[in-house]
Amino acid sequence: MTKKRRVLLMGWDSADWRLLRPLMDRGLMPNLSRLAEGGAHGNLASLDPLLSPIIWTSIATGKFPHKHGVLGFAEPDPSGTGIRPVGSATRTTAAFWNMFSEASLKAHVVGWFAGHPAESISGVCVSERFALPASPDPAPPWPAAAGTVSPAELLEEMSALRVHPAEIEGDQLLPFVPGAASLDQSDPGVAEKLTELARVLAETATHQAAATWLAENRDWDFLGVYFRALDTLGHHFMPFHPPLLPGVDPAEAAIWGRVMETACIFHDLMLGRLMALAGSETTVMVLSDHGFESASSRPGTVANNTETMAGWHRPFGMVALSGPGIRRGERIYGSSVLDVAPTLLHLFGLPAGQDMDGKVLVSALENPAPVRHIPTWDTHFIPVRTAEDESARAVLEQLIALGYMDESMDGDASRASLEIGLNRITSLLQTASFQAAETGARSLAEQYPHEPRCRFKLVQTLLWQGRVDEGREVLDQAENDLGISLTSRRIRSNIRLMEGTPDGALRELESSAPDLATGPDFSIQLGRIHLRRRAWARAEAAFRQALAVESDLPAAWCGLAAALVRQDRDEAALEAALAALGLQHHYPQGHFQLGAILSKMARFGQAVQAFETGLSMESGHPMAHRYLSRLHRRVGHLPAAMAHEEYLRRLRQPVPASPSSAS
Amino acid sequence: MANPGSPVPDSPRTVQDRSRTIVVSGLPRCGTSLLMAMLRAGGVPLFTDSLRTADDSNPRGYFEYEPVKRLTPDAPWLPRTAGHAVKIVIPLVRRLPPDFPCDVLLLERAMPEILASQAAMLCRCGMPAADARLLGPAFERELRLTHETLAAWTGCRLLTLQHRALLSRPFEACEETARFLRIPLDSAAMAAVVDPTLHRQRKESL
Repeated sequence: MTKKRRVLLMGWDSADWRLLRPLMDRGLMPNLSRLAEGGAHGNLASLDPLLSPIIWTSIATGKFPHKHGVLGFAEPDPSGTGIRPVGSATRTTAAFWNMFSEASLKAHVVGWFAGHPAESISGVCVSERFALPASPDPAPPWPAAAGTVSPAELLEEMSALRVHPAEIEGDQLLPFVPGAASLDQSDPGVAEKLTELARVLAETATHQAAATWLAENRDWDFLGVYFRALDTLGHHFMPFHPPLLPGVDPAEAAIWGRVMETACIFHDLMLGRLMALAGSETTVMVLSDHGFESASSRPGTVANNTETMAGWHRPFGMVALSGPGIRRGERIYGSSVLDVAPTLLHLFGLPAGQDMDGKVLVSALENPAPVRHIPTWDTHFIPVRTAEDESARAVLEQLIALGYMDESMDGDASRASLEIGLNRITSLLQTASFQAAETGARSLAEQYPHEPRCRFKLVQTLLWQGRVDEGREVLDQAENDLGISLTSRRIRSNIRLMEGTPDGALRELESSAPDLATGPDFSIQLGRIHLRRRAWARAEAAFRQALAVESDLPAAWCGLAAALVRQDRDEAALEAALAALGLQHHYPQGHFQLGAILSKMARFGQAVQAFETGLSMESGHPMAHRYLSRLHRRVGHLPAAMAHEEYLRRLRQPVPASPSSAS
Repeated sequence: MANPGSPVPDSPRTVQDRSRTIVVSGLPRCGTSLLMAMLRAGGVPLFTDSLRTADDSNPRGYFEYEPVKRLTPDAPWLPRTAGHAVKIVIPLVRRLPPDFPCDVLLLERAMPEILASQAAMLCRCGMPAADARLLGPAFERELRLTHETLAAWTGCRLLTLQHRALLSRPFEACEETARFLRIPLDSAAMAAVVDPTLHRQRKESL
């Protein structure tokens, strides 16, 4: 008889191997070390934009953001006034806990980002607002908000598990801030930091208490628990983490420099406790949504400013999993946050949805069973609808019908709607859904005429479709209306490059310096320009410069591969292309570059495979079809070669005019 | 000549150089138009563009300013409302900036009357009425939220008036309004505006 599988998942927001690895090497995180060494581990490529509610929902659904609907931190309130945090009612597609429920697995979920109100699932669902203190006073009854626990009958019992920030004692803060007792707490800066630390510790302890209670008191097949602490603390204390950053006061660093290290150790202790409760027959997975700058590449000395927060996030999170059926000591390459949901389904012998964008991480599995698919898990999924939302919508519709309101939004709602719109287009572009992206960008540019980002997004969607003239016109108009900016110069540099005038591109790029001159984005663009100028060695130097600043840059590795193969350093080029794809599997340009290198190396079969993989992600790429037609001819697959030639022929033909425009 | 759609404020008469705005608010069909008409009779200049003209639902007129429907906290016309009365219904009134200096006259009316009046208005426009069982609690919630929000605002003073009191004891209601606004109003002229025959939903519900 097959043993029943159990999976424990811990979500550590912002956890990054660059922060964790040195601590593991010092023996400070023995449980994570045991998990990584006894199983498989690797990077987890994140998604753009690097915002936690968006990415945790992609982790839960296996889908790009525009498919799941959570596109920012906040959304316009259905009442037409103000905004509210995104939540489970925002999500338009099934999460893995809904899928497990449908498959009659007992699943419990604690504190997932964008997970309020708690959903009705087969097990217990505890929302992210469960730990939220409603008042500064921890005295009973300190009521938990309605909708934070499902089933609601457990609300009272589970409420006793919560830890209020005021219950965090001074000696509990000392491991994080050893000198806390001697600090002047009348200093607002000191008080703010200690208060925030206590608040985060209370929330973390609450989530851990709920998870351990469920592990001990409820049957379960799946238990997932989310911890926000590493991200929140990172935004307050990472600037003080060693090594000392230029511009950071050494005295301040001495006070707050231990917080991040102790937070990691605390997470490791929580992992150890849950692993012990779960038992050795449970598959344990720890993962994060994105990374967090922790070394010399930290972008400045302030991490909690709204303007700079996202800049501290790195595009690669981490994953480690271990247990029955998981390979031991395996390094996973090319995995993405989108792969988590399909992999979890596969671990339970369930099919992935064909409408999911991720893949099963088969390289982490011993003797993996064939991956099965169904069209979708959404057939029986009913999106969360709260009575409050329904009534707010009813009021709004009534007032519009009566002529007292327009379908307009107030300032906050309008700003939230703008961010949601921009993030949706970013997501659409990642899946090469150009038409929908262009429609959205045009609508946003019309709705927010004074917001340059909308115009730039429209230019981007046009350029990605190769419509350079139209892109230039929109950029000209944007500069005319809103003025020239560094960003507009960067975009114009790209346009010059696409127009085939690399020298002009170089001039535009240099005019956008010096602010961007030291950043890897600048170096990557410089490398691309030199590639077009056929200055291969200079291109190589520029891409290496980018990689010296930040090694986890697929675009820089891909550019380096192009520069190397042009210098006939094929093996090095191959390694660089594989490095790009090892970081990010969903990267069509990387697969095309790999295919070109393999083709040059006469590894035709592998080259075909690389081009076809790239085309499965971005169809209609003429260069890939051209390569494939030649490769198939070379190996004698004439029908396949002819199919690609036919495709290219159709591509060259002008699009027939529609009857209306013809008349 | 003024641009079409631009506000045509009344000439200030009894109200001079006031730095605060009088906001007439309440759920739609709770008597906000009536109170606007009364304030005008009492000498308060109104901030209205008169684009929405009188009809069967509001024979005296609506006294609205069209851009209110798209109100945002940074609306450029908001400062120009100082010294005038402007009609901003619930929930739009919650879109005002929290520090906006204003005296809010918030009208309340029995919910069945409001819903009946709204349904009649929709019927006159040939539109179906929404489900009153859903709308009633939803409007109650909006009213509660508005009270809570306005109470927390630093720039706001609030007077709640009952629609029924406006009709049954208009003079007293006007005197109370004048005391709250701290301005002399012609209460007799204001009270004379009230025409109980227009109070159809109450008559029909009796």
